[in-house]
Amino acid sequence: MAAPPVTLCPSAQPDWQDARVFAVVGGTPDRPETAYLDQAEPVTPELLALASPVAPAEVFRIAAPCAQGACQHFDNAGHSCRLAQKTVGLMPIAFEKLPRCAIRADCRWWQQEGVSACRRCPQVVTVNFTPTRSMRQAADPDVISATPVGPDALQPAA
Amino acid sequence: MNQPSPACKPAHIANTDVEAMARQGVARALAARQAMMEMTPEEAAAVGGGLTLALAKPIIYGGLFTKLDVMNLGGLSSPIGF
Ligand code: SF4
Repeated sequence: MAAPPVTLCPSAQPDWQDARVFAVVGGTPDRPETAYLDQAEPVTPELLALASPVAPAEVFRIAAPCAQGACQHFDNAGHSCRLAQKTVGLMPIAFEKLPRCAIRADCRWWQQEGVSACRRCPQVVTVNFTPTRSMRQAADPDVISATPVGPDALQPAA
Repeated sequence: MNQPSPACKPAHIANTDVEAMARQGVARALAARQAMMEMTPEEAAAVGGGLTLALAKPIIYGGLFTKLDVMNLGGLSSPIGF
């Protein structure tokens, strides 16, 4: 019998249990663009080695079971992911058309925020050295509200 | 920042193309690290609200449960918020 579906975090690290790569982030530092794979692939040393010399999560989008209450982004009262809420509330739409995404059915961001999350997802880089102000605000677990702090700022182009 | 591109759709690739796409990703990531190092104090202040020191670190867009040195960050200090 197939295992019951598990809700996946689309912004996981490679060392999480059952981690799998579902996309690769190309583009440029100020305009990262995610390319989605046909199928999510289990994380292997060989796959992670393709990201060398940088961190795997600078290059790959990795999904793994949502840690729920163990994660600093999880709102136990609302049983929801604040990172997903802030992604939708703070980040601009990257694409109107949705990516064809191998993990959508099980993705917490999709389950919680729907198409609004998927339209913003392609600009997410999990380990990001050139975040915009809104990305920085969304990623900060101490920022609870999805209220923008000011105009977004671009990082200098490489 | 990215503008909505109604005519465009995010890329979709075959699993056999991961290696080639990862090379592009590594090039972008290295350029991003380089761009961070080359920011002027004014640019740093504009982006980070004056916390220039903090800008030498990446953000982690997601949960984090282990130390960063397992993530190939090359000896950089802890990311923002952790
Ligand atoms: S709460 Fe959100 S960021 Fe944390 S593990 Fe779950 S989906 Fe990922």
